[in-house]
Amino acid sequence: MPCRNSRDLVIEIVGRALRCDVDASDNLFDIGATSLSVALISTELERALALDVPIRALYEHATIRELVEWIDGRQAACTQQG
Amino acid sequence: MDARPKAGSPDSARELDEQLHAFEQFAARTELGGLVVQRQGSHQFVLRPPGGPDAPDAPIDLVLMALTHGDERGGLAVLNAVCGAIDRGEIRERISLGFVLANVAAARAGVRFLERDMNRCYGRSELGTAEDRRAREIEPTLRRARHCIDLHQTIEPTLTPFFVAAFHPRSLSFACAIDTTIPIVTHWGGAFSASAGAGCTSDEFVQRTAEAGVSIELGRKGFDVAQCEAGTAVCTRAIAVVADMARGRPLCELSAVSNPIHSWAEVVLYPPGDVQLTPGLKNFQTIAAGETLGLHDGVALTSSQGGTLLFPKYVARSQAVKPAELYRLLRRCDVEELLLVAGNQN
Repeated sequence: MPCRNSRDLVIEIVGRALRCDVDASDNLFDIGATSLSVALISTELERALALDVPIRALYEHATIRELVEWIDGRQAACTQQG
Repeated sequence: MDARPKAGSPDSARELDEQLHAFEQFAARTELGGLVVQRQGSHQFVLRPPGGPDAPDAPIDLVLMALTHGDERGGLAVLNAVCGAIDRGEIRERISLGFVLANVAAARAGVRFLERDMNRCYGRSELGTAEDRRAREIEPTLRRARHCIDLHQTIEPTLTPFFVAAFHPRSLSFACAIDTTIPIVTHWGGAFSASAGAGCTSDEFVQRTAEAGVSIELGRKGFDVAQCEAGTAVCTRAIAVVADMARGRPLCELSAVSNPIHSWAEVVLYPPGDVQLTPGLKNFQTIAAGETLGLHDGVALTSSQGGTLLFPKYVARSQAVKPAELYRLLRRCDVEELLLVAGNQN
């Protein structure tokens, strides 16, 4: 299961960037993500998580739930490597 | 001392008059380089091969437009240069060509627009401003366009001309077919400007019905010989590309577009207080994260991230109304990202 903290963080950052209420089942591009907002979300996530979050990941994991799972997987991989 | 003619200066006004006169001379002809001239209302005409479809709603293979912003006059000289080349037989392709001057009233007044940014007026139904009324006059021509290029200029110098277009695979392929070395700035998921309201840009409007629509920023605004030559080369090449397509040669796929492609990384809003950007900033200048770009209330104004600078705004302290944006930063997009965007759009 995705970590609650990362899920809340993603929901907060996406909601702030897109200026809307966000649910874990939402697809970024169904709720108004743009070429600019994906860049903002990527930058904000990288700052908050100290993790490389390429814009491509937002397209490949376009729902909040998928994105959180991808982030948790990346964090777990980084922890193991560290 | 800056010796370039300023928009609205006597020299610039005289050249504008001469260029507008030349455009109207072409529009008043019955024939140009073997093509039939059809006037389409004020400051618009179509060149059509003899014997081709001539119905009022017949498609136009390529529309070339200028003066969307009244103070970006360089495109007018380009349209006249293209018409001159057709007249002299230097351009011989037998396709239909539209020529449109969008906002002559603003150009004559020496301003970007009279009441509302013309490039935020397309696709609306309003008639309340001069620009809305003019947009309603132009839209029928734009709806007939199969391809369209809108010629713009920047406020500040630019290190390279660049295409600007809402993300639309065929429009990017069209730009690539014209010139692979000219960077493309593209964006998706929203209008060009957050303040666009219900209106859109010319390329966004044209893309609704046409095969391809792009804008190109030629360089710093004003009449300029080098920009005219570059713009004429772009339009001449576009005519050849469209003619090749009519002969059955397709545009490349999105995956084969090789131009440098950029999109927005950040739109920096104009902050309250006193802002002075460092003199000499240019469009397409590379900016490092943390680089000082000016002063804000006496404190260094630094870039929060690295990128490519676009549309820096220098505003006099005495100017009461500040622009919405201070500058934009661009990031490079790879084709894989664009293919994912296209996938999400389908």
